[in-house]
Amino acid sequence: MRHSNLYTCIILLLFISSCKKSFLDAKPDDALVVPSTLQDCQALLDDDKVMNGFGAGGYPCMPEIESDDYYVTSDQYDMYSPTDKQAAIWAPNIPTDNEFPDWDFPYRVIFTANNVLETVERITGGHPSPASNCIKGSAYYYRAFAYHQLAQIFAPAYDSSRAATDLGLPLRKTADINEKLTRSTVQQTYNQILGDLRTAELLLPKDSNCLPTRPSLIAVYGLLSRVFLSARDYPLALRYADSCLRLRSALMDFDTISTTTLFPFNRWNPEVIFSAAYFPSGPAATYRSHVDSTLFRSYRPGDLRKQLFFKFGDYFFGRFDQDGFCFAGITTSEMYLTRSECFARAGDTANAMADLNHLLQTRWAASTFIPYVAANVDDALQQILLERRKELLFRGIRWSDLRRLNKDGTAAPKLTRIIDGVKHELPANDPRWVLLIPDYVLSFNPGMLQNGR
Amino acid sequence: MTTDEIIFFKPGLGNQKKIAMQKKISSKCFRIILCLLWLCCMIGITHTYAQTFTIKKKNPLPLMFEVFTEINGQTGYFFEGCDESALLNQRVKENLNKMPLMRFLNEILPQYGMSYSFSQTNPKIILLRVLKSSPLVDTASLRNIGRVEGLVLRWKGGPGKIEFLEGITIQIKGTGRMTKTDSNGWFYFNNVPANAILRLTGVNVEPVETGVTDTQVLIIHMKDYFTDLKEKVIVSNGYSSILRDSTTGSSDVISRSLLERSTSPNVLDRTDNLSAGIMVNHGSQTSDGSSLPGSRIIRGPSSFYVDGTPLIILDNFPYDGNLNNINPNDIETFTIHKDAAASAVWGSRAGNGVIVITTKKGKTRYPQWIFNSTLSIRRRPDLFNIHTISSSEYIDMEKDLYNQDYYAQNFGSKIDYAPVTPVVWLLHAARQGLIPQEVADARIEVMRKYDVRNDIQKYLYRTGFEKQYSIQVSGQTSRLNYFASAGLDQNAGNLVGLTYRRFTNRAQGTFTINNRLQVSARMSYTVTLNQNGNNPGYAYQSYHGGKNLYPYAQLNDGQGRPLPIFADYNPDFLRQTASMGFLNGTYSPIQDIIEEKNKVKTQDYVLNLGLNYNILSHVQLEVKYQLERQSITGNDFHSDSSYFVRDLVNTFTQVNPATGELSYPVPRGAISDLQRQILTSHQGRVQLSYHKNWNNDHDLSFLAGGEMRSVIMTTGSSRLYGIDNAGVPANIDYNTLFSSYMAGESINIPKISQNNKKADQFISGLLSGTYNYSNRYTFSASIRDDAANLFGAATNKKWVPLWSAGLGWHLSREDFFTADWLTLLTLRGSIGTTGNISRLASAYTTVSTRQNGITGTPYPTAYIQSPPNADLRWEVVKMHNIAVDFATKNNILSGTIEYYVKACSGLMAQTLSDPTLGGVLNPGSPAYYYGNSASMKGKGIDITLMSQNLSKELKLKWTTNYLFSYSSSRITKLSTIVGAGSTHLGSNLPNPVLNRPLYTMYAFKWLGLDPGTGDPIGFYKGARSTDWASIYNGTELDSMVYMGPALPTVFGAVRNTFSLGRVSLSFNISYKLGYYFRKPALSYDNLLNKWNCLSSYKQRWQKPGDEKYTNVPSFNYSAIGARDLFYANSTEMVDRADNIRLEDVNLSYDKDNFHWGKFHCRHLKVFTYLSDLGPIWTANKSHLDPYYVGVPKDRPRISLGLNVTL
Repeated sequence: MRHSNLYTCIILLLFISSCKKSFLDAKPDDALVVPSTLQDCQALLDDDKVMNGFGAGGYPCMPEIESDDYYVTSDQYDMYSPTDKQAAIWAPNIPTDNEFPDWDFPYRVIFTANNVLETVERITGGHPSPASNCIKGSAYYYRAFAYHQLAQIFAPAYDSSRAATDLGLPLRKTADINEKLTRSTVQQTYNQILGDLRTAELLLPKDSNCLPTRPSLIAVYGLLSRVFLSARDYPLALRYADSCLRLRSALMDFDTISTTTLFPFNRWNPEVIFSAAYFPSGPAATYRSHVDSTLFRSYRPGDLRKQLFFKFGDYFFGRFDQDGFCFAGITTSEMYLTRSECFARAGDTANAMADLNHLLQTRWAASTFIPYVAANVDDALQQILLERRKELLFRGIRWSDLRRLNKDGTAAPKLTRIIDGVKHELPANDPRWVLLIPDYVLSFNPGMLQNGR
Repeated sequence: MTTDEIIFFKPGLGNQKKIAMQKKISSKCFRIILCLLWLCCMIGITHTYAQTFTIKKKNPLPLMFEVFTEINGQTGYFFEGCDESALLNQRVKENLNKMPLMRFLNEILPQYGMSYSFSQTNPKIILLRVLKSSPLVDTASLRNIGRVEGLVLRWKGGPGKIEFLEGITIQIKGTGRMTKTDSNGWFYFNNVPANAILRLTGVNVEPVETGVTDTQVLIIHMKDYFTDLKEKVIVSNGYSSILRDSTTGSSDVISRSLLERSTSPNVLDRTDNLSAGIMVNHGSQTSDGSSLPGSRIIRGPSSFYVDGTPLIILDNFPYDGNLNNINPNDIETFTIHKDAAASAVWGSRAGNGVIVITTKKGKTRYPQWIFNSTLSIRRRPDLFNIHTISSSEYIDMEKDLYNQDYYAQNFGSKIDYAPVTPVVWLLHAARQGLIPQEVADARIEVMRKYDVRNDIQKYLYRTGFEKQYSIQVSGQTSRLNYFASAGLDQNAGNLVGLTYRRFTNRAQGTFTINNRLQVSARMSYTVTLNQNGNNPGYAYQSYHGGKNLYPYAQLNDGQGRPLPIFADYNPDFLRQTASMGFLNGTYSPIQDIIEEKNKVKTQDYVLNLGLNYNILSHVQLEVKYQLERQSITGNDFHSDSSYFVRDLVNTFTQVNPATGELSYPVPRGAISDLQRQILTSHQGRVQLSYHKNWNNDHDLSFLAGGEMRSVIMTTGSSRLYGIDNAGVPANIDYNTLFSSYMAGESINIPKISQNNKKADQFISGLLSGTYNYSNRYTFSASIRDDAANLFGAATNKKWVPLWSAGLGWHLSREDFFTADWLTLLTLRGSIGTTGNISRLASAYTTVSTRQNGITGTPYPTAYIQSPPNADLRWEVVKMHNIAVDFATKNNILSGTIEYYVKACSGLMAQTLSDPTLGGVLNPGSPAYYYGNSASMKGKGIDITLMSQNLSKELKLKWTTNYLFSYSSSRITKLSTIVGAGSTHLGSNLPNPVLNRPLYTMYAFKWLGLDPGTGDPIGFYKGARSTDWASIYNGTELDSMVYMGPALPTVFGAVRNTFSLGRVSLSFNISYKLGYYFRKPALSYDNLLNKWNCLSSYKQRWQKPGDEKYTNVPSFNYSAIGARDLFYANSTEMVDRADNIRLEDVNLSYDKDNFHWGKFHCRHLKVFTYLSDLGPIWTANKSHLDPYYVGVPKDRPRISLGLNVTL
């Protein structure tokens, strides 16, 4: 009798332990929409408002506010928010008032991507399908894009000799709300970005007919190229720009673009490899700043960009968008310029100038274009860097370029801005080239280290 | 009709069939089992009344009184008249197998020194007489030298009144040696000195001292010590039952006699004001008409947003159904567990305290029948406690405004005339020349005499009746313990058309298979039918615009014909639409009552099966399972002539502009709003318990259990339009936007169709134990771990148990304790944690979906609403409790004083999170989520005292029970952004603010009335201000005045009971102190737009100088809204809510053992009970009863009751 009791107990225990998992995973309330299918995951990634930055938050605008593409009058400056006012004069500490979209929204992208990765893992349970791979690859891509955007403002420019000790970004490992965060090193941050992209490279299909809001293999190459360029790894930047251009090389012929349209470029024009946006505040918004006069003057007659990019004088209208967002994604033109620069840095003047001319002939009126020639490698590099600035202005790239160029002395020794007659300066390699982590982030994470001043 | 409309839960007929099948099968099974149980009860009943009896041979031989008891159980005869212990304690040597009763009486009884005769009044009573020369039987052979054994019992000569007392402490005086009686009432000592004196003490019995010199087996009779606590107090926590004496926790047991003192059909209502520490909120409506949540709060709030009601355990399992399904007459014990030591065994759901209800069992050896009947009457409520503007004043005001052309807007050329009151209409008609001025004036003068409250009271209310009947039978044989009951409640409420009917049925049987195995089954079935028509009573508000009844409204023309009220539409407009062919658009409150029928039917059954197996002598295995199914179906049926249907049809009626023909998108048939809720719960438990006593010094009981619980609740609602006579609903076009002639806008036909399913699934394990050393020291501990689908994955994996530990010291049993005046002194202390479960947050990521991307991408998108929270867990309530129990000599004063400190942590609240974690959704709104982030601390004192105010010798008894509670709490941690001050005005909502109690009374600073204009003056940005909108919307919380708590901080009751012979009278007075309420404020918005307002209109500021006498702002029809809101929420309108009230009076007559026709009546009780008697004292100067602010006051309820035990 006693034995039979024992057996009953054992059977009962076995029964309980076997059904425990599913029993405790039962959905507590049908009214809750819990992502549980691949379609749900895809829908989370397709939220362009968050994932591509087409919201009132979006990808960082600070790179544009801090860079040298514009100058500002007192009247315009007065209309900036307190944060933007301080950012425009490179104040050591930019006030944030408990929110800093440049920090908060890329981390929302990372949070969503982590959520998707965890959900896909739970759904597939280690049995991936092409569909689940594509979703995972996309999630890795978005995460890498967001981390790279953050790294350009909140971590020092990559320097191979210091990357192991320079403070990088806090890296989120999960989607859970309870995660404790600490800062990684710049090396770890770049490892994270590159790791994500290399995984995305394996997971994303070669061909896709989707809109550029969705990541593709081409976009992976494009972003890899951008990341390596920002890390001054020119051979690899060259390799991936080349891989990218082999798959997609389309350029718009500016002769065919209407000059009468206010915003001449479509959101999904043929050059767009990956569509991302930042919400322009302060000087980045139309009419709130003038394009830097030196830069504006550098567009020579016959350069169609002068008419297409600028309206009503020197106001910028070349932002790929009618809804007020600025383009921060990746285009074929950026890839041509990167490949060209990398050829030059490798001493291959001929290829460098070939790429540059291939791009510029689409920018100039066909009748007036005379191919550029370079006297030597240095001359080629100077020309390429100038054209890079002229082509990619207000795309959030200039700041990152300045930071890396500071490292090898190619860029101007310092930035200056005169507001209300007061001259503000930002010397090369000043600590202010790295923004401070917002105060409220530190208050949530006691012990998290701040950037130097 | 689409399938969507008829099927509530899952579309597809297959499922519907399945559900129906399951229902059919389960209800069939249920009926079979219920029949079987009734059958068992009947077997138990027929087993008795034989004329022979049998007592099996046993060792030691049965004692004489045991034989008497057995005869009583087996034959129904019972013995009276002998209380000589020596005679009753003789051992009967004869073979009593199939012994004829008469032979026993005639032949055996005399041998033991007794003779008998049958009672003249009741042939079932056998009167015993003592023979002068009684040959006492020599029992020396059974004697153990130096060993004393004894049996402790109560036997009062009546039937079934024998009880072996467990847990009585026996002390050999002067030695410190002690023991306790076992469950059969036995105890023993070895090596007892010959002249030893034993002192017996127990919780509810009077102490006894006895020598050991002349008897060998001591039979000790003990007497009750409280008049109203006749049963020994057993504390049950739903897993085990122990004597109160050996608990360390804080528990209140409400005895059956106290439960029977009042007459509410709801058991919780019956316990109000009977236990310290429980605050009852019933009736405490706030001025906006809502009542405070959590009708009963034990020891102050424990959570911000979790429903504050305690966990209810009914017969060992949490009860998920409606408490109204339980007939209070079926309840044996009602135990309230207040601290962690008492409730931590219930783990993560016990944070609000636990109430354990056990139903009755058989107790007598004969079938005991009990009949109960109660009739309660309550007169229509008193509407005149709502002080409203008089008809005359209102008419004067309307005339004034009419002359100022205020109403011009109502009579424009617009087709949709706004509704107007009859006075305004008459004034207008006279001015337009439609009726002569004198006629209009005369009719207006007549209206001055009307008061709508008279009509409401007369036609919408009535005298309410509540009838309760119940019948019970119970008993116990050697193999079967049974109880069965049936009850019927029929109530007709005070609102005309409101009826309530309840039928309850319960049967339970415990079968003893052999000395190791017991099987029990319990079954209950309840049907409740709630019905009401469309009768809002005083709370009437018109469908469009929410107008009240104007002061001179007439509901009836005096000849029995209902009169219409034109609160939604202007009568002229209705005449016009009627001429176009629209349905009659008038509303008559009296007529409409019967045009709608809202029926709610609740069916609940519980099946409970148990198995009890003694594995070893000390180890018991229990397996229990319970199935509960409650279905609530509601049908709000609006007949085709109800105002609801006519108005909805008219709203959507389409007019063909060319032909003037009408079409009806909402068909002109009845409308049914259906609701359904099905709750199915399965609960199972395996539990091992161990109990052992060594040398009478060490007593250990230990329990280990595992349980599973699954509660699935599905809800559905739907609306059927245009039901024709065959019950077939019409097809409705929900998609078209119809332009409405009546409403003047384009609207969709409302579609009501909702389904939802909720699931609570738990797996739990628990351990609990009590160790007692030498009856003086008790140590108890418990530990429980819960895993549930409501918690985060990490929480479910971690072993984070909720626990308790308690210590008890019976100081008065120590040798050194010599104070004679103090017979009982016990110190208790406990500490432990319990939990609360919030559904505010999900452990999983939840998302919202959108059709397309914001940039116009064709892909469906989703965004995350709340983050995943793997650590989501229960809220933790940690409580420390210290208590003293005491009783003075002869129990002149006895009671318990307790002090507790409570720390609630991990409370679910809006929590700011690090944006790095990804929670920011939009710029400008901080990242927050609902998480376990807030904390609250509470402390309090509970005192329960009882005094016997008159000498025991007097025939008149007077006892007083005192309850006193102090409870305070404040929020100690909060990680959220405090909203604007105006969001904290709702004193009935939890609105946490750091360092304040959960329910607070905030108000705007009041600086009096402007002497020039009579405008109320407030304070804004450091200066006097009359910018009321800015004050209301812009005042920060810091600049508001904190008046105090909105819940009582000191409360309790005093109950006096007088008894003289068979008559007893008791009354209970309750008090609630230390809190604030908002007085109803005059609102000019209501005056103008809702057609009624308070009588303080009379006191309004009218001319400079008035501000010295009044604080009622002047009438300014161009400044309403914010001005009213500021005034209503100013410090001026907050007052103390403290009140003392006479809760109830009970007068009863009891009679034992008498003949009533053919029946022998064992007990009869006739009583009258008065409740809701109103306040005796209120602190506020306006003499407002804070229980009834702006709502009609209930009249006292008068009950007459009869209780017969056969």
